[in-house]
Amino acid sequence: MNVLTKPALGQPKRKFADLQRASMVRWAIIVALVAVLELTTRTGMISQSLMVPPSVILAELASIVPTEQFGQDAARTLTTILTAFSIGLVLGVPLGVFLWRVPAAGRILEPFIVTGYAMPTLLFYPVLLAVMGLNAGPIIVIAASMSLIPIALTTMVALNAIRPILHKLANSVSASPQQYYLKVLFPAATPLIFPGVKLGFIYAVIGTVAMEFILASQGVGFRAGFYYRELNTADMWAYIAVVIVLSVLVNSVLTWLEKRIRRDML
Amino acid sequence: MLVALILLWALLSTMSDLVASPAESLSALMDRFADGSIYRHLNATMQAVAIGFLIAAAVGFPLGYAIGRSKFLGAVFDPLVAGAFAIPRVIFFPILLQIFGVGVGAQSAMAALAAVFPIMVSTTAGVRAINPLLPKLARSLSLSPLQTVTKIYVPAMAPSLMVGIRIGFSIAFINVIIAEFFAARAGLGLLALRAYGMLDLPTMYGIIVLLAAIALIGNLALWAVERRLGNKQL
Repeated sequence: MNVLTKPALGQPKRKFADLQRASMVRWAIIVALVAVLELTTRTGMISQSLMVPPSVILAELASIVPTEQFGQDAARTLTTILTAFSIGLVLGVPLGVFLWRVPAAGRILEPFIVTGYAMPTLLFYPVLLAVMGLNAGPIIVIAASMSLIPIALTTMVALNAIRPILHKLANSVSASPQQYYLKVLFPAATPLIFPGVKLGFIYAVIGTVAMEFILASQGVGFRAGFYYRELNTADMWAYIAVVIVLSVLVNSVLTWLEKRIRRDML
Repeated sequence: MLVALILLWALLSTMSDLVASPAESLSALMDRFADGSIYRHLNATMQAVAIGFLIAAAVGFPLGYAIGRSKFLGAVFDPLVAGAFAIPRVIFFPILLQIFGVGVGAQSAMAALAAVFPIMVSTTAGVRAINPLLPKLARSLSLSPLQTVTKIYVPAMAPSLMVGIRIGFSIAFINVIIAEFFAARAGLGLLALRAYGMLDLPTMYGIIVLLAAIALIGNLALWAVERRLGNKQL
């Protein structure tokens, strides 16, 4: 989203202390939140049919994770996410390159892509269900289309932002088209493309879990909705916790990667 | 482009029984309008989107502004907001259902919960991108805090506020539909999935076209406003 924001410069030492203080406050907030939930659910201020205490969720998780059903659900969700993201990446980057090479196409397609950014491609879920049947297919299509758009958009922006001197350099050493793309454009654009790739992956996760939640036969998102319908609040919360942990984990890993990749940015 | 899409749709419908033709779908949709049965659902959906979006805006803009203004709050909350942004928020819908009961309340709450984070993120980014001269200008004119916000910050941030409004609207809309797919008393999403369940494919395609049209038109209108604001800035 904020592809081009530069980190603010400050005195490094003070900044580090500030950051440490901030992260302490952040953890304190999280711990306090969990403690409040534990307390209010234990004392019955929040009904246990609505929310079970976090400690119970943890115990429930421990009993769910080793089961075969959980393994199948997790495997299904993860393969769906990865497949959708791979499709998004494989189609999104060339689409971005195409939009950059042919600015006219970029201008014609721009409204569709910009609205597609937020446009509910998932409106078409019932259509895909009707055509492809109740399996991982429709979910992959939707999650892939959701992850494709930010990737294509940032690829285009990144290629446009490459410094003109690099194009001249490639010309002056008479690089072949293949060398031009692989040795010049790709390394120069990677730090700028990565935020889009990160967003693409997050969208793939969101799309997959959300679609599973609506209607599916298997998967982590499906199971949370399933236990809601069975009025099994504890198991429902356990699966919600799985989803939260999964997405926060994905986000942290990608943020860490992003920092590493952008550090040696020109 | 739109014409090409409709032609493609017509072509697909001749090849497969599972795709209703555009004419059939539109007439099924028109029937729904003619007998008036759709208005209740249309109303429920639009109401949920509007309420949810307004709540998200009322909460998201001030919070995003506060996080953007203060370095410390930014350092504390940025990772939290980013983490919350990555969670598929639909997963919380069952809880909202238990709190609000099946109905417009739960749908609105879902939309608010989903739209508040994008609005916060873009407001924060907007505050941070403000030319540092402007706050100084405000101080040198000794404006009151209220004047500083309304006369300096809001106009300077207008483009990024519009981004927040547009994305917030879309996300609110999508999430209302997803929530209706899952459980609702009335709503276009419910109607579409019910039509799928009854294999009434023309109606299903018709409603989905209607939904896509609402989303597309709303988005394009907001995008046009956004671009005009952006042009004025430069």
